[in-house]
Amino acid sequence: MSSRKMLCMATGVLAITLIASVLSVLIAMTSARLDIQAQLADQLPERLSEAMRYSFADREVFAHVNQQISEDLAQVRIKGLLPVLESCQIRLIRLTQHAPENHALSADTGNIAVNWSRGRGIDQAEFALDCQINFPALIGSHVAIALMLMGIWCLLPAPLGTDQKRLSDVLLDHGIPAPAVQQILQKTTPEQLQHLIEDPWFILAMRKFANAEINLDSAFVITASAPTVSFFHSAHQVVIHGITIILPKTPYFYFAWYALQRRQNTHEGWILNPAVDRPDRRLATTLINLMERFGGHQKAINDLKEHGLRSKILDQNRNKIKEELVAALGDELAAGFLFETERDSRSSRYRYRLCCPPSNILLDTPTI
Amino acid sequence: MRLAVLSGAGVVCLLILFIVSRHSSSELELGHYYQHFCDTPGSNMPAAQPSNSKRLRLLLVTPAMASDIATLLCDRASVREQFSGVEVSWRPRMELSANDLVNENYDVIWNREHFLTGLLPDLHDYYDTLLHYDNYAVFWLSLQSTPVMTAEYFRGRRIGLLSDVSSHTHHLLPLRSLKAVNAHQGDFDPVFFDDTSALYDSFYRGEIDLMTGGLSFASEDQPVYRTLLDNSATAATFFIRKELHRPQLRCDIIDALELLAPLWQGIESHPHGSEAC
Repeated sequence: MSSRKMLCMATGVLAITLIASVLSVLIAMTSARLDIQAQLADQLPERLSEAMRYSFADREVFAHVNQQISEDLAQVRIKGLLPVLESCQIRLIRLTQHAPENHALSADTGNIAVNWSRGRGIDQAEFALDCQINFPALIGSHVAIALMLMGIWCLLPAPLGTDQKRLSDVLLDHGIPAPAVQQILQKTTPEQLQHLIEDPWFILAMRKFANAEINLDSAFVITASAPTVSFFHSAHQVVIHGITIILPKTPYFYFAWYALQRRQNTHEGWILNPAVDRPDRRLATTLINLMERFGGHQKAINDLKEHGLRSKILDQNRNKIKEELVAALGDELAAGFLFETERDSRSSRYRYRLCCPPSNILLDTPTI
Repeated sequence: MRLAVLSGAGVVCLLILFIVSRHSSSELELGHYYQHFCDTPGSNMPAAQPSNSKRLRLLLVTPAMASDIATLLCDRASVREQFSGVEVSWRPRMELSANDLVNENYDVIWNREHFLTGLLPDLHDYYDTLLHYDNYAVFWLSLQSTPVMTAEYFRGRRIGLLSDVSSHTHHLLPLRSLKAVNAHQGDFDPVFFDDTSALYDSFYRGEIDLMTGGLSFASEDQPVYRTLLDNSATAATFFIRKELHRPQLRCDIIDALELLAPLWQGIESHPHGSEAC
């Protein structure tokens, strides 16, 4: 996490703690005040009424009541689920005759006012509520709340900007699911993504990531890979633009055989298809050597030895190679690593070679 | 989406904050404020402690001078010898029960004799008369004009009364007087008060037109017009428990009650069996 983000987090925690603490104290004080006000309103009028019933002058009773109420309310036990307030004291400030009506809670002073009817007027007792704040409980609990909120903030994906939204839509249009899109957006800047999104290899890699075939880092490696095709004979696999494709043994060796021809640039990589009725035993030799050396199917080797390289078998294997590459890369991307063809002017038969330039073909064993 | 989730979390946090931050007080228990206590010097028993047996308890009908009476009695040697403190109470007199009298919960009671014997016919088996008063005069009072004892005069007027039905001066006598002149309910406008102070205050403020009172009632600022309502109203009497027979104690109590003398201005008091004082 960057120091700027850390500072931002700390400021957020501090701000939330402060605001929540102030709110908490306000709620605690107000609720306590309202509760005490309700209790006093319930009891005090009757108590005062019976105390003043035979009084000829309010002043002498008020003085006496003042002292008694102060003793009764000197210590009030305050309770709450979160003990924000430690203890409270209620002080009787004054008893007033003919108080203004509807003045239950003195908004200006925050004092508690209890009104009661006397004859044709309203009398009022005004109390002050003094509470001590339980700072350890207050700060501790609110720091925890602030950390939790900031944690949620960090865990949630950041809102998308206009560019990111547009790029996200493009990825979604390519069939990449939303959760994968979110991860891609977190890993790239809009500028990077703008560039990448035009690369079909990137789209392909992201689809494979979305299908859980590879992880996101591997997907970026594929995107950044060179447009080469690498052959690994022992494993019968090719790696095209960083994407590993395991082919069936026999088509693999046919593919590798074409690649070897193209890499060595013999006849510019072209291999003429044998005539339908005349298998080519000379061409079959290199293919047999390749298969025998790297564990090709004995049946295919025997077939080549017995019948030579036949046009039909060659066509079948090219088709199988095409099928496998298209399945792995799609038509468009596979095309660059498949075969190109032209008619041989002398024999009028077709000849085939790999499309990609020789420099893009990497062989773990360049010669047989 | 991030903002929506965070807003939701914020609202939930606020809600939780609101619930957990709410505070309430444990149940407040206000005492009765119709009594005044003091400790006798040298007593180490707090007067407010409910130890009835050791406290001299006086039940009066007004808080007037209550603290002075208590303080005076607490200082008297005769009281100190028998009591740890003094309680002067003006508990609503309608709350007084026969049980209070039989159990002798109060050492001194100020009330009308007929009220107490109504509760306990053999009152004098438990209590002696300490101070007896002559009958007194009650008047209709007005700040506007001299009251006239006719139904026509009272029609539509706001008449201040105490809601305490045991009050002679401010409830029974004025209602009896109104009935005597054929002023019926609906003819006048009765305004009931819980306490005398509020009744007097309303009278001075002009919120009521008429009230009743004794000869001592006066206003410093303006003339009070009077018309006699009853010349022989029965005054209340002070009773004392028979067991408190020591003359000096009775004399000291009578002496302390003299502080109330301004209230019965013009009414003669007669101590009973306390000639030694």
